Amino acid sequence: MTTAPTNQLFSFTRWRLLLAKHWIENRRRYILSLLAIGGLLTIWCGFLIIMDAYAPLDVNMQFAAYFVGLFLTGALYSSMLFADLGTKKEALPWLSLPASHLEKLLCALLFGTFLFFIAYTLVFYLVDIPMVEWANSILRNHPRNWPNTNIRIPPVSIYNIFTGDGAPIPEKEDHLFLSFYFAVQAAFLLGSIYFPRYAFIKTVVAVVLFTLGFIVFQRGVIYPLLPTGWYNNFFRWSTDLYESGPPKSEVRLPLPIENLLTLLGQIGLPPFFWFVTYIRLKEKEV
Amino acid sequence: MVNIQNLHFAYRRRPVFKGLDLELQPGHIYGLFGRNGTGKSTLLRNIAGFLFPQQGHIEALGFTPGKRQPAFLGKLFHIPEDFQLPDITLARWIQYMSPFYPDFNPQQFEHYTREFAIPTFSGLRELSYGQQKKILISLALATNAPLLLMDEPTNGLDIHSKSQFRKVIAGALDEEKCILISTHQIKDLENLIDNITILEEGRIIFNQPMNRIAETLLFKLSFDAEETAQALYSESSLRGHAIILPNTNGEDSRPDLEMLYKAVLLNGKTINALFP
Repeated sequence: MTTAPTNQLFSFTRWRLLLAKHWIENRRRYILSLLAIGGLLTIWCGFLIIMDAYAPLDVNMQFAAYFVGLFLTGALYSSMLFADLGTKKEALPWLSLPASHLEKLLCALLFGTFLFFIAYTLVFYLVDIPMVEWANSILRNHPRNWPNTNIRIPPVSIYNIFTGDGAPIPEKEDHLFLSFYFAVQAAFLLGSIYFPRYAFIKTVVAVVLFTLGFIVFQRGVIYPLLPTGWYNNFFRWSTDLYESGPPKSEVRLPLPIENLLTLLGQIGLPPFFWFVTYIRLKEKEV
Repeated sequence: MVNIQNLHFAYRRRPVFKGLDLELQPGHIYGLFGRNGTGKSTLLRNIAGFLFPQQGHIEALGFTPGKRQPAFLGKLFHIPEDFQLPDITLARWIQYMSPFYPDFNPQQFEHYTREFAIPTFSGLRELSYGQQKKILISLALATNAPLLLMDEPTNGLDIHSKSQFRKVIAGALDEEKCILISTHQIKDLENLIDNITILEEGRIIFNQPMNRIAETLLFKLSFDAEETAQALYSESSLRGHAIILPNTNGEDSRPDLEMLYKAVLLNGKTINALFP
């Protein structure tokens, strides 16, 4: 006979048991999925090297491969995390397992968000590093210049997701893609509990509709309210776009509030979606 | 142990319960009978906290089931009619499942799996539906959860396993446990349950312990046309008429659950009136 933890919201002992159970029941699926991701990345990178005669697998290509793969597989995987709750025969054992809603959510977050991100990144580099080496060996063995120049094509470097060197400016300066990935993944996690069937497709539709709604709101409501010649840039309205120095006139929020809103937009969305997922989990009926 | 008061529940626009009251005591095995769609499984899921009452109050083991607190879930085991076990071996599954139940007893689990003759070396998904169900029943009993809810537990069991089921459940009951079995296979629970509860159109139309049923009603075979005409319920058979009469002389008879069920559906008011 063992003693049951008294805390009904979160117990580390119970959570550890839940993690062990989740891993043992799903490890085969996870390992196979990672192998499949690795295989697809290998095929894609190999295809790029073969097809690009000048700069095979440059940093931009690696950046695109990393993020397209991360967004697609992350969203797909996330939308399956609570898919069990869509069918009675899997939902009832899941709900009846003696662990709290918070523990179950944190288990899903650990595997679906953090471990998946780490595992995907590891798989990416396991594929990317030898692929870059292959690309460089091609350049070493067959040196070539950029078209119509005498400039030698330099060796390809490995894309670093932490520094973002060579990536587009929003990623290099603010890690916008990386933070947006966690927001998208959190949205798909919520979708997996919100939509009992076809969670991935329905969440895609919901995200697209939300984005369209936001664009329509910006173009159809905010713009017509502004004087002619003024631009709308989220938290600030100005007479010119920020292309050549500060604008002549602008209306903007106080800097601390603007910074806070930007920060919330960057890192506040995932916790917001996780919180809503937690509420939905508590309200879930089967 | 379980106290349900004024339970109202509906699926979208289809009402299931309109003011249902029920009390379950420890030390009993309750048989919950009813036609398809009368709300047997819905009642079990309300008690387990998988569905929430729209009105009314449910208390089980001192908890509000809808909160699904781990302490409550650890004292309850719900065997659904349809379920899916993970794709791992039985030993692995029990190793990782049992620590969630503080009163799990591995010796008891071994005993039940032996009783049910379950092959313990196989992967769970390689086993038949009936074998998987027997594993679930064995686990449920070995957790020593005070409240056991079983939804059609004998579905998928062969004839031998059904009698094993009755033996195992009867042996597992003690004064602290309450077992609620929902089924439409009434014959499977004969000689097992000690209380019969019949649901019809979301209401409990009959709820009596077996000893009182035996005291109040007389189940017999009759060839007497007059006696048959006076019966609360009768069925023709090759051996004569199987009838239910008021037990006015305190005679001994063995209640036939299937007949009683049909009698209550046809003649519930008169039968209930016989129970003070």
